[in-house]
Amino acid sequence: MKLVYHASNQFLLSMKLTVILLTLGFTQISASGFSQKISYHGKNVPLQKIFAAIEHQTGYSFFYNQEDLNRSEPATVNFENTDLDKALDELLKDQHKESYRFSIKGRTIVVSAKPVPSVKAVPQALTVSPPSVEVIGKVLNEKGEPLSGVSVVVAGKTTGSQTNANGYFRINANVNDTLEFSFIGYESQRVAVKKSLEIEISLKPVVKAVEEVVVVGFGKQRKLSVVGAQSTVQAAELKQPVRSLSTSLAGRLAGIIAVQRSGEPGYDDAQFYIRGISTFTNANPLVLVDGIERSLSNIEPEDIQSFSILKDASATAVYGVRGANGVVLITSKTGKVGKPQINFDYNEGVTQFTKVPTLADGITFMNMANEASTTRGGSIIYSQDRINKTISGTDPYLYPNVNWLDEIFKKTGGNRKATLNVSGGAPNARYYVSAGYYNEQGLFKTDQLAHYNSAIGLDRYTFTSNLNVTASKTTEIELGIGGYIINGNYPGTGTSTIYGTVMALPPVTHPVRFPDGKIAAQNYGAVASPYVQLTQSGYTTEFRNELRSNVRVKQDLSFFTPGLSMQALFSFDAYNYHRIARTKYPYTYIANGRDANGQLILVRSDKNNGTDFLGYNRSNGGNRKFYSEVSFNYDRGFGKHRVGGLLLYNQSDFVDGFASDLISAIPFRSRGLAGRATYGYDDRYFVEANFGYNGSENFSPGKRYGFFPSAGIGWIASNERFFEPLSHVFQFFKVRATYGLAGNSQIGGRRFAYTDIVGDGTGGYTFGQNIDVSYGGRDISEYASSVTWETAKKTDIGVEFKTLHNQLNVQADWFNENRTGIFLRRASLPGFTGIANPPYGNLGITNNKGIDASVEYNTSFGEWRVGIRGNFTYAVNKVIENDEAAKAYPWLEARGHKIGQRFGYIAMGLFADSAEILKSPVQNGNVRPGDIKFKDLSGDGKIDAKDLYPIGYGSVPEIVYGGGFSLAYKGFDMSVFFQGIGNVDIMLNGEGIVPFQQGGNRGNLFSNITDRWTPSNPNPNAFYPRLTFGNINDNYQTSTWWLKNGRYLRLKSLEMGYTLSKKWTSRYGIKSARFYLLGNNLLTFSEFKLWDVELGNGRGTTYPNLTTFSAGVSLKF
Amino acid sequence: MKRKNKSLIYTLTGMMVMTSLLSCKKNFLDQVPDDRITIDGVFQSKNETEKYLANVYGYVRDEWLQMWDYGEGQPWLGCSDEADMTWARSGYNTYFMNLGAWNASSDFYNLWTKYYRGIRSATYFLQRVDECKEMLNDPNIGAAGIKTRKAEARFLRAFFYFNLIKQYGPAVLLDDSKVLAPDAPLSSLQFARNSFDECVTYISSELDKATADLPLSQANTSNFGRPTKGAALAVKARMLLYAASPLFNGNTDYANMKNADGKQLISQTYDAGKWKKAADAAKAVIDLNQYSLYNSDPDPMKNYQQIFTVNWNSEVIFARPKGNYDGPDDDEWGYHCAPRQASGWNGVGATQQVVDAYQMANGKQINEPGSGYVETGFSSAPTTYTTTGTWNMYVNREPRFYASITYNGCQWINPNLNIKVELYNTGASGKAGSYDYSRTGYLVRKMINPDMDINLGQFQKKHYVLYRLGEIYLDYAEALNEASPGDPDILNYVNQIRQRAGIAGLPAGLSQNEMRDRIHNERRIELAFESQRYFDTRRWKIAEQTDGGDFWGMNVDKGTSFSDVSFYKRTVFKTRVFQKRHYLFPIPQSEIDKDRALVQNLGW
Repeated sequence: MKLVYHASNQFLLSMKLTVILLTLGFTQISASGFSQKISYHGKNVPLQKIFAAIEHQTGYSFFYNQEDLNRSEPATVNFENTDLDKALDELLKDQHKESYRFSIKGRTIVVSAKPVPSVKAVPQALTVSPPSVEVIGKVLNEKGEPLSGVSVVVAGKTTGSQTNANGYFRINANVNDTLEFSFIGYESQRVAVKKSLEIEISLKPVVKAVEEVVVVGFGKQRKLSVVGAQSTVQAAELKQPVRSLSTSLAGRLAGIIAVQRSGEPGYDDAQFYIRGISTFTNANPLVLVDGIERSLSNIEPEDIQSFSILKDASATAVYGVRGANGVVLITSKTGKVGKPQINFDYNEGVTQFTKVPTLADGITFMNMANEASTTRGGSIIYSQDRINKTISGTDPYLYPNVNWLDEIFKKTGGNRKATLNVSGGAPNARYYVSAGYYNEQGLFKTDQLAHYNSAIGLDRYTFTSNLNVTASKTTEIELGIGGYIINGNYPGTGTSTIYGTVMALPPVTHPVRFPDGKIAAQNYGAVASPYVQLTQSGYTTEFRNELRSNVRVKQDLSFFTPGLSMQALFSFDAYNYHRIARTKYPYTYIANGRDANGQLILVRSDKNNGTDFLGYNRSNGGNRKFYSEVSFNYDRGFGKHRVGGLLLYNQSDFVDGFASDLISAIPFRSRGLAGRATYGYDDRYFVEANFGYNGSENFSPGKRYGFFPSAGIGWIASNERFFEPLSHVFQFFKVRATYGLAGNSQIGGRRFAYTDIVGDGTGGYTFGQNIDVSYGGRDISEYASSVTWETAKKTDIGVEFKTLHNQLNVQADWFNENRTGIFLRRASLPGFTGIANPPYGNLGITNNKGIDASVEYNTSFGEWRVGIRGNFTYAVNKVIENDEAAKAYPWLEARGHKIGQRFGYIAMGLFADSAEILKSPVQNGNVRPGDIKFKDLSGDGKIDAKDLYPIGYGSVPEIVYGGGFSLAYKGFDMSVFFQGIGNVDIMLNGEGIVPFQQGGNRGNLFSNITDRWTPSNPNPNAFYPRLTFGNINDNYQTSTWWLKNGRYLRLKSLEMGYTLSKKWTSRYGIKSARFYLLGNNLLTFSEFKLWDVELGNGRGTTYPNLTTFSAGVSLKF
Repeated sequence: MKRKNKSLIYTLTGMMVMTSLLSCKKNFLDQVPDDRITIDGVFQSKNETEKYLANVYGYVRDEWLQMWDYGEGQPWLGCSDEADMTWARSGYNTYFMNLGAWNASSDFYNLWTKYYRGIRSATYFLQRVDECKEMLNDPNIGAAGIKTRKAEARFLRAFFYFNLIKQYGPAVLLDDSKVLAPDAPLSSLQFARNSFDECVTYISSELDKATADLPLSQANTSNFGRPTKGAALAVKARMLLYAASPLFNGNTDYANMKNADGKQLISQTYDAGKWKKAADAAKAVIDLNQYSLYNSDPDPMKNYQQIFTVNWNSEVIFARPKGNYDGPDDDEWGYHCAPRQASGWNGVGATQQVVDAYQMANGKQINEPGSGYVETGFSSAPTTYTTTGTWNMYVNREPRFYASITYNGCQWINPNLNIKVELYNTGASGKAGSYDYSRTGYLVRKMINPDMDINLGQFQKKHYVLYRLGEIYLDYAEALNEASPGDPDILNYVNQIRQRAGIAGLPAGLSQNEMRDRIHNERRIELAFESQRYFDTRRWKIAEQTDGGDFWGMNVDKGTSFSDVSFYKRTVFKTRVFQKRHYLFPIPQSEIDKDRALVQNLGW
C-alpha cells in the first residue's frame, strides 16, 4: 500500500503566514487568504492533477490511496469560482469504474473508493463474518498535535498503514478487530474497531530516559550519557505573571541561589547565582540564549523550549574563561512539521505590594521625639499644645498628621500579558513565530491635575521568530530573530529617593497640599515632600530595545564519514537605551500660622527654585555584539560502543556605543576553542573529557590563553545484569563523578590589566592672580600588573535514580569548588606607599561547597494525575585568602568566613541600670540604662573595633528551596509552588530604623517604635533600646541586635485551570481552551515583620515586591 | 553521487562564509592602542609634565571644607572649641568624634593615606622631570624653570609631611630617591615610624632646599599660588613652633610610645632651645620684607574681612587659589555658614566660648575690670556695629567679633539683602522649622565675601589663605616669649596685630605668664576659624580643658522673637569627650594591620 501525501502547499502556506505575521504585526491572522472556491478548466485531466491544482488554490491537502485512484478515469471539467464541495461532487460522480466518496476534515480532503458492498448495504442479520470497514482516523500526541508516521496495524493481520503529516490514517479492518498504534517515543495503544468509521487516538509519550535528549554546552546529548551536573526546568513552570524570567527561578531549579530585591517595574530583576558565590569579583553566571551570550530578563517564557543550568566543570569547561560561575542555557522554540498551530494566551492581573511598612502616626512621632530628648536630659521638642491640636485634627494644615506612604502608594496596580504564537511547517521548512505583550502599572499615585503622566509602569513587546530550512538533505539553515521593546514611564524623581524621603520627613511637618491647592513643602534644601517628588517633579520616560539575530547552518558530513557534522553560527545583537527626564521643582509653600481672619499665612518655600515648566535631560546607552562560532560534531555508535566528539571555535566582539573613555570604548573581545570527547559502552559506562582553550584581551600577550580541561565518568548500574534483582526497587540508577577546571576573566571593570592607566589624578590645580590658570591633573591611576584569569577547580559527584515504578525520580549532587587566583586589588599595600589604587593580582582563594537535589514524583489514580516536585540547594562559601594583612585578633579575620562576611558587635542585651554600666567595659558616647550592652572580646575594658565579630550569614542565602504539587482531574488542573530561603539575614540600618538619627525635626518612624525600652517599662527584649537623638552612642552600630533572620517560605505561585471539553470547543475551531487563575507571591511566612522580607538589608526603602492575582485564558487553534 | 556533490558545495560555501566572518585577525585580542597616554609619554611633554605637577598641587587641601568627611573635608573646626557643625549624619563625622565615638578603625578623616599619595607623586615628579626635553628646550622654562618646578615639588612634599605630623605625630619618612614599587612584597614594607624630631629635622632640611631654589616672589601673575621662599619659610616657622610646644617637646605622657628597637617617638626631655629655633624661623619670614599686614580699609571690621576676600593681598604668604569645592562659582563655605534666611545651610555654629573670647572695643577681655561688658538686656542706642535693641552681650565688642560671628538680631553680612538674622527658636533661621539649624545660636561669618548672594548665584572666586603674615607675627611673639621673655619684639608684634584689628595694644610690663595668656587669646581671636585652634589647644596640651566637657551656646529651644530673653540664656548644647588619646589622630587600623612595625599612637 502506498500512501501519497502532497505537502508542498503546506510549506507555502506556512511561509505566507510567517510573512504576514512579520509584516502586518499580527493584525490579521485569520485564514481568509485561502479560497474555498476553485477555478479549473481541462479536458481529460487525471484526477491527481486536478487534486494538485485544488491543493494549490485552496491550501487544502488531499489524502487518498494511490491504488484507489489508479482506477479512476480522467475527467473533463469546467470550474469557475465553484465551491469546493460542489466541484468535488461533480468530479467524482462522473467516475464509472470506481465510485468514490470524499470528506473534508479540517484542511484535509479524504478521497476514498466506496467499499462494495457498503456497510449500510449489508443487512446485519445476514452477516456471518464481521463486516469489513474502512477506518479513517487521526492520531494526536499528548498536546493534541497531530503525529505523523505512526504505524497502524490490524492486530494479528498483515494489514498496515501509517499516519500522514496531518496525523490521518486509513485502514481496512473488520469490526471487532483491534488496531495497534505504535510510534517511537510513545506508548503503543490498542483500539477495538467499532462500527464507527472515524476514530481519534491520543498517544502518550513514553517517559523513558533512554530517549531523552538534553541540551549541553555547545550541543545536545542523550540524557543517559550525560555525566555532568545540570538541571532543567519545564518551560511551562516559568510562565508567571512577571516581567523578568530571573524572578521565577528561585526554588525551581536545584543549584540556583536567587533573591529579588525590588519590585520596581523594569528594575525588578532578581539576583541569581549558580551554586552560590565563589569569587570576590563577578559571580554572575554566563547566560546563553540559543548559544549566544544574552540577558535572560526579557525573554518571554512562552518562547522557551528548554531552560537548563550547567553546574559542574565537565559541563562548563568548554566555556573556558566564561564558565566558572556556571552557565544558563536557554533555547527558544522552533517549529515542527505540521499545520499551523496557533496558541494564544492572555491574562490580566491585579497587583498589590506583598507588604508595605507601617509608619508611626504623627502623635506617636511627637511623643517619641519628646521622649528621645527628655530621656537623655534634653527638653521637649513638641509642646503638649501642639500635640493636643494635632490629636484634635481641627486644623490639619497647621497641625498635620500625614502618612506619607499612604500619600504615595495606591492600593492596587495591575499587569497584563498576552502572547500569540504560530508554529508549524513542512518537512523542509519549519517556523515558529510569536509576539508577546506585557504591561505593568505600578502602585505609585499620580496627580490628576498634572498634564502629563508620571505614573510608574511599563509596556513590553517581545517577538521571536525561528525558521528552520532544510536546504538539502544534509543541510539545515536556522534563522532566529527576536527582540523586545520596553517603554517605561517613571516619576521625575527616582523611586528610591522618594522612598528615602518618606523615611526622612516626619508626619507632622507639613500637609500634602493647602486648601487652595498650593503645594506644601519645607524650604528648598531641607527634606523635600515625597508627594512633590512623586507627582509634581515631572516625569521620565525610558525605552529600551534589543534586537537579537542569529543564523546557524548545520551540515551533515556523513558522506565523509558517518556521524560527522558541522555547524556554523553567526549572531548580531544590538541594544539601545534612551531615558528622557522632564523634571521640575514646583512652587511650594509653608504655613506660618493664621492671620487675624483665620486665613493661613503661606510663605513661598521653594526659594526661587520653583518653576512652572519642565526641564529636559537625556541619557542614552547602547551596544552591539557579534558572535561567531564554527564547530565539528561527531556522534556514532559501533555496536555497543558509542563515540562522540566536538571541536569548536568561537569569538565575540562587543562594543559599548556610549563608552565614557578611550579604554572602555575599545571593543571587548574574546576567542576560544572548545572540545569534547565522549565514549559510552553499552549504555552502562560513560567517559567524557572536555576542554576550553580561551584567550582574553585582558591579559598580557604571554598570559592570554588558558587551557581548562575537565573529565567525568558515569555508570548506569541499573543497566548491569547483576542489577536485575534490584530493578523492582530502582528502575534506574546512575552515578557520576566529574572534576575539572573553569575560568573567570571578568576583572571587575579593570581592562587590560597588563598596562598601566594614566588618568586625571586629583583633577589638577588652578593658579594665577585671577585664579584662572588651570591645569588638569595627570598621574598613574592604575598600575600594570601581570595577572591572568581566576581558576575554579570543581568536583561534582552525583546520583540519579528512579524508583516506585519510575514514578519517583531523584537527582542529587555534592559539589566542591576551589577558586584560586581571584582578582583582587592588593589589600596589603601600606598607605605610606602612596599608591592610590593598589594594583590587581591573582590573590584571592575561596572554597564553595554544598549539595543540590531535586525530587519528582508523578503518578495517577484513575483520572487523577498527581505530580510532586521539590528541590533544594545548599551552598556555603569560605574565604581562604584575601591578601589582607593578618589581624591583631583572630576574630577580626575575614579568612575562614563567608565572602562578604559581616562584622559587628555582639549585643548582650540592654543595660539594666547604672551599676551595670559602671562595671561593664566602657562604651562610646552617652550610655544609660536601656542602651545596648556589647561584648568586650579583646578584654581591654572598652568597646571598639577590636570587638567586631563575624556575625550572621549575610544577605545571600545559603539555602534556597522550592517545591509544590500539581493535580489534574479531567479538565481541571491545579498547581501549587512554594519557595523559600534559609541561612540568610537582614541587617537593619539607616534613617528610620535609627529613630531621630538627625534630631526631632527629621526622620520617620516605623510603627513598632513603641516597642522600646523606657525607664518606666524596662523591657529587656524591646525592639528599640532607650531612645536617642542622633547617633550619640553605639546603639545603632552594626551588631547582633539589629541582625534579623531573613528566612522565609513563600507561596510563590498557585494556579488553577479548567480546560473546556473538546466537544464544546471544536465546534468553534478551537483545539483547546483553558481558563485559569494564577497567583504570585500569595502568602509569606517569615518572622521578619517590618517590610517584605525578600527586600533584605537596610530600612525597607525599596519598591516592594508584588503579589499578583491573575486570570487568563489560553487557546489553541 | 550528485547529492553528495551538492552537499559538498554547501559545506565548502558555508566554511568560506564562516571563515570570512571570523576573519581570523592575528591581532584580534591585541587591542590596546600604542598611542594612548602612558606615564613615559607624560614626561616627554611640557604640558603633560605641568599637569603632573598640578596634580601634586591637587593634594593641597581645601580647608574651607570643614563640614563633612567624604574624602574631601577636615575636622579642624568642628572638633575645636570654636565651632560646632550641626549635621550629625554619617559623613559629618565631627559630631561623633566630639562624643568620643570613634576609633582607629572608624577611618574618619583619613588624611594619612591621602598625604602619602601626594608625597609619592611629588617624589616621582622629582625623579622624572629632568627627562622632559620639551620643557628644557622651552625658552620660557629651560633648566632654571625646571629647577624651580623641582623646588615646588620639594616644597609640596615637605608641606604634606608637615600636615601629616601635625595630625598624626611621628610619621614614616621616605626619602626622595625612589617611590615604592606597587608589587613590592608586604614583608619588604615593614617600615617603622621616625621620631617626631627626626621628622622635623628632615622636613626643615627639605624646606631649606626648596627655599634655596624658590623665587622670592612670583613675577609672573599666572604663577600666583605657587610657593615662594616665604611660603617655605612660613611652613617651617609654624612647624618649629609646634615642635617647641609642650605636646612634642619633652612630653612624658608619651614615654611608652617607642618603636620595637626602643626608639622614643616623641622627645622625653624638654629642650628650651626649640623655642629659639621657632622664633628665628618666624623672624626669617618677617625679615624677607615681602609681606605687610593688610591695612586698606579705614573700618577695621571691614579691613579684617578683606584679608580673606581680597585675593593675593600684601599679607598672604601661601594660599590655595581655588578654595571651593564645586568650581569657581560656588562657595561651599558660604553656603554652610549662611543663615536659612539667606538660603544658606545654617549650620556652622560658633560656640559661646569663642564668643566670650572676643574682647571689647576697648581691647579689654570681657571679664577684665573696666571692660564695660554687660551680659544681659537690650541696648538702648545704636553703636558702630550694632542697632538699638541688640542683646547687650553683643554690644561694644571688638571689630573682629562683628567680622566673624553671626548672632541673633544682627544684620546679615550682605547689606543688600537686608536680613536681620533670626536664630531664636521659631525664627526663620531658628531651630524650629528645619534640621538645618545652629545648635549654638550663633553662626560663623568669617571669610565670607559680603557680596555673596546665594539666591542670585553670586559667588566670588577666591583663595583660601593657608599662611599669612598675621600668623607669623603671633608665631614669633609666642616663641620669643618662651625663648627670651621680655624681648621688646613680643609686645611690638602682638600690638601690631591688635592695632590693625582696631583695638588698643597690650600694656607693657606683663609677666611671661600673663603675656603667654594674652598671646594665646590673641591667636585664638585673630586666627579664629582658620584651622589653627584645633592644633593650638593640642600643642599647648590644654585640650582636655578646652575641648572636652560642656559646650555652650544660646538656648535654641527657646525664643519666639528677637526680644524674647529666654533665648539669650547660656545653655549647654553638647557635652564633648576629650581623652588623652585624642591629642593625636589614630593611625588607621588597617595601616597598623599591614605594617607590623608601625606603632599606634597612645591610647588608640
